Amino acid sequence: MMRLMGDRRIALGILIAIAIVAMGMISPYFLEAGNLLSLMQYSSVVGLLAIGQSLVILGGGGGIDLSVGSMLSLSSITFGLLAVDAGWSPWLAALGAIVAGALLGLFNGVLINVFNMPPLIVTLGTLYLYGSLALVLANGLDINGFDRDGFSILGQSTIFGIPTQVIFVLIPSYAAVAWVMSRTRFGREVYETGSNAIAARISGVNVKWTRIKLYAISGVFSAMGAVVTASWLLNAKSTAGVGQELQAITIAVLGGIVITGGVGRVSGTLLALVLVAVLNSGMALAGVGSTYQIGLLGVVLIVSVLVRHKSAIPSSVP
Amino acid sequence: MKNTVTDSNHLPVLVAESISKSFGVTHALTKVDFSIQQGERVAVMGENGAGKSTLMKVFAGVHAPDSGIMSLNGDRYSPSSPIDAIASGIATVYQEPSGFGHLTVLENLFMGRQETSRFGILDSRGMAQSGRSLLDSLGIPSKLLGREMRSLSLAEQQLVLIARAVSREAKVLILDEPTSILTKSESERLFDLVDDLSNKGTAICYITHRFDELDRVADRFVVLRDGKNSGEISHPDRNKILDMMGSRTMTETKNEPVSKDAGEDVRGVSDEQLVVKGLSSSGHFSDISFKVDKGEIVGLYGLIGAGRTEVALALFGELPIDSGEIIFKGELYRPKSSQDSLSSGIAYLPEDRKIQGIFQFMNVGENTSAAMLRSLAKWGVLSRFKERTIVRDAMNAFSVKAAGTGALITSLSGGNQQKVLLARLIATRPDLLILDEPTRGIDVGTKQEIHQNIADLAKSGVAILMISSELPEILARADRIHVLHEGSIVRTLERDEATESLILEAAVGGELD
Amino acid sequence: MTTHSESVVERPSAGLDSAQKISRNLLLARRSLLPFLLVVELIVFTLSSNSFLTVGNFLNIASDATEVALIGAGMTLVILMGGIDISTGYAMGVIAWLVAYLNGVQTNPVLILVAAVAVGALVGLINGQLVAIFKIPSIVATLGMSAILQTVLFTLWDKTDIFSGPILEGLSRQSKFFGIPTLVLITVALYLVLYWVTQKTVFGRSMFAIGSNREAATLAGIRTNIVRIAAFVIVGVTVALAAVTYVGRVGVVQASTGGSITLLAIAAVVVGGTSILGGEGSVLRTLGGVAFIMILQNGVVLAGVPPLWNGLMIGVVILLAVLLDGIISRLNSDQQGSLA
Repeated sequence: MMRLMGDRRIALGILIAIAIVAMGMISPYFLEAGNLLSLMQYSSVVGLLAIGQSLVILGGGGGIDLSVGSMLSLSSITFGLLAVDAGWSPWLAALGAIVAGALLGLFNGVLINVFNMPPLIVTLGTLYLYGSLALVLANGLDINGFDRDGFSILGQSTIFGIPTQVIFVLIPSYAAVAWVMSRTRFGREVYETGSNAIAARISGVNVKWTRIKLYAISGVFSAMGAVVTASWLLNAKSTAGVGQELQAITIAVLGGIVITGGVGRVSGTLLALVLVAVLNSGMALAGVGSTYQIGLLGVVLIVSVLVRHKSAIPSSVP
Repeated sequence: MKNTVTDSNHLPVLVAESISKSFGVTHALTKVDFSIQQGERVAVMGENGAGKSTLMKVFAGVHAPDSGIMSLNGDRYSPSSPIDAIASGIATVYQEPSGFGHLTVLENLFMGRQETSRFGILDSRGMAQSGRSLLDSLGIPSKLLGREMRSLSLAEQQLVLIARAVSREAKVLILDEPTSILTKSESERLFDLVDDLSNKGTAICYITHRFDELDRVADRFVVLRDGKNSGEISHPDRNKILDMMGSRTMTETKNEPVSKDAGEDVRGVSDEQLVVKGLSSSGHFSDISFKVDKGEIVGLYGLIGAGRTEVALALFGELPIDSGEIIFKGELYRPKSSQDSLSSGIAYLPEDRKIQGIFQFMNVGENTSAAMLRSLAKWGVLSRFKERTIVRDAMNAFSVKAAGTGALITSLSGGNQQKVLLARLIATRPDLLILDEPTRGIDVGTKQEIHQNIADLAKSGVAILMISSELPEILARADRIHVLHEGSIVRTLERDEATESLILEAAVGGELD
Repeated sequence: MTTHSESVVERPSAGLDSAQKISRNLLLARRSLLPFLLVVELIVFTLSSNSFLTVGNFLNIASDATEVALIGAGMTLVILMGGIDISTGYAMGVIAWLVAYLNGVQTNPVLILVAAVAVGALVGLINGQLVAIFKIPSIVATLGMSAILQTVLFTLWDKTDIFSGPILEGLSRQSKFFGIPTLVLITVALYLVLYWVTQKTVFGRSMFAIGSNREAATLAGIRTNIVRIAAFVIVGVTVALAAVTYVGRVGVVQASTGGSITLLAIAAVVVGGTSILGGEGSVLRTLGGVAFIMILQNGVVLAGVPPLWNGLMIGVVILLAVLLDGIISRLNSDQQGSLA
């Protein structure tokens, strides 16, 4: 698998370099600290969602999580309610939100793996369900007023020009997940499950349970994204996560995660995140609206899968 | 009921000359000749792996032969795909019926060639009528027409698929072990149908291993052995057929009895690693009893459908058991799952390494350590060092030829892949090792290496249950052979009394002469 | 004496019968779920609001349901064969913009219709090719397309909402034909046409075959790629029709037009009983699903429940419907050994 991934990550690296140069040429403001800052702040959230998505897809069996955006919204509201209505310390509320996220993901995982429901429809259903729940709980309003106990440090300060959420949340998350995937038994079992679920089973892996955990982890990362957003924007929106699933899936696929599972590394996802962030930022500076970035993402998604389809993946079926 | 072939039916419909087909190192077919006339019923027989299925698949357009010529009614016949073959008039009905479960029988009969009035509109009434007359002419109850295919029994579904093949005016109908899923009465119904078809001129090609049906079923019996023609006769002489089926290409001499020291006859109860009593699983096998001692190699032989893999899966925890007892390592054992079995000391090498065994996207090292992860991990973290050591030792022990542990598993030959799988299991230090067709599709040299590995394992005290379809393998390696037939053990032979013919006879449900 | 053991060879065995019975009961439950829910709905809403059970209200519901119904009809075909199309929403938005624009410059209504259908068919063709020929999973392909179309709509919108009347007098919200809103008539007409196609034509039946067993369908000589692409094209056409009625009914096109329709259409199909696992479903059932969802949205508002609860209920119903499907399929497949 190393050989397969090598190509993708190198390609991404080259593309990033080209993109940076191109964006720098398009606008002199690109390389300015302020711009890079907001670029990173924004990417932190999407980057977290992309980790969860990567894991779910890696586990195979048609795994996909369309509900990540809604899980973010709902976790966001949960956070807001705990921090404001219940008066908890925002740090504690953040923990509560993360637990909530895990439960939301767990629900997805159980429906899909215990009750044999298609991941597509289930996460489409929970996209709807969780999204509405967020709206209902917040009564359609935003929640403010949790800038206490230094909570805003997380989202609004920088260290040597790099936002804290990048240093303390994004990078450690990627590093941790990358480490888990390559150095732990769980990580190995995920790859086995995605590669050949039957063989994994007879080798003693609990396929169902592994996949359920992946969905729960996706929920956790969605919640983390919610916490970071809340700290950055200092409000908890019930629509905070709308449209994020497109980004998460695109970044994962662009990063080399094969949609059928078993192939791909989160380091690729990270590179894809950087590339997309650079492109988005460049476009924003060139005066291109954020909606165009959505369209670009769509193109990138389709092209990524097309390219993967053409490249030779050793197939076990004659 | 023997079919009388009239004079006008002497034209050969399908002729195949010198067909050869290989898959990697496996020579599935070598210069096989075959011909069948209009209205003739030919039974194609042979052991597992003799090439029967492959030959039929070549006819059906699934595989293109490496060499050889086929002709259909005098014209050159080389189908480029299964659809091509069907269009040319060769219809195949496989063991497991595969139709459109959600659609009605009528739709299943006509899908792809519906009767239409103008503009592509279905002529339902016309089709219903045609459907009725089709089923009537074949003795199939026409009330089935309106039922959903999946609500029919497997036997009925099979009949429908045959009717479908017939409605396409098949010149040759290939039936692959059709009665393996049927009861006696259902089989009778099938035979009547087949007789009828052949009377009408369809050539019937029938893969079977059911000796008790032979006289009912065919006019001529063609036997394949090791991918080659092994003769044919026109009357069902059981012994002659068995003779032709038995494989002579024993590439190895009988093994030294590795599990017994010279002169030691007494085995204590404490040496019994696995004792199975009256094990049954409805629909798969019944009343299975046998035992495997430490260091013993017990062979399970049987033809397709006999239930061998099912027994293995049951022992491994992947098939529900209805009744019976398993005593493993002296204690009552209830297999719950593969995870459970592995940690209890039972390891299973699956039948089909491609689909059930290898992790095709991972490398050799990862494939080797796959079953060992729990012991390689401390607090969930894999010890790279331990893993490397184990993998290296395993690769050496089994002389796996690979470009390194980082090489993709798919870059290895089939034989070496199998070795990796074996190494994977052995690394878990099992007390009972279940091997399901351990050397299938592997070159001769590697086969011998693997056999030596197995022998060494036995010597070190591992109890081994070996499922195999290869007579020479099982004769040479097993200390005791249980022959399965239709889900039951019909014969048990110790090493010194086991012969090919005895095993084959029992496997086909035979009477003992 | 052979050792032929009837009990071993005989299938299906006793153990299988009870599983089949449960599965059949669940199938029954699944099929009656929708009618049951509809009845419950009607009762609950009648009790909670006086203005619910009136002809006028139901005519309103029917008109409002037009786009969801139209798109749902086409979507049924795609889901039937195991795929999905989430680009329908913004596709409708783009085409609606086109319709409104052309209408604004006095184009011949027939030409407008042709243009709309052409664009819709084109989008469907692209989706179909991505899925059937390039083998991109339909969720990914249509997700990408949805994003692209959203951007296209945004570009066209260019910060100006575009207003327009119906392209034909008959297509307005109020217009009626013998007392029945023309919009309803159009919807029903489409459903009848599609129902007829799926039941009475070779093409229609081949869709069920593909959904049931794609391999067998190929072996039967069905050109599966073409049929699958055709289904996406049909969806595109229904999207175009929906765009035309939308303009006539709502009168304005914005950057967000169409954004919420996709999920409603999919929900209607799934709740109606068409399974993405393939082979099982019907266009008419989708109509039932549409009815359920649109009545739900209406009744909830009339009952004074905050409309935000809509999504919750629809989400729950979707999950419930698919849950039953999943359990049934699990029971059916559990009869083989677990390594099958």
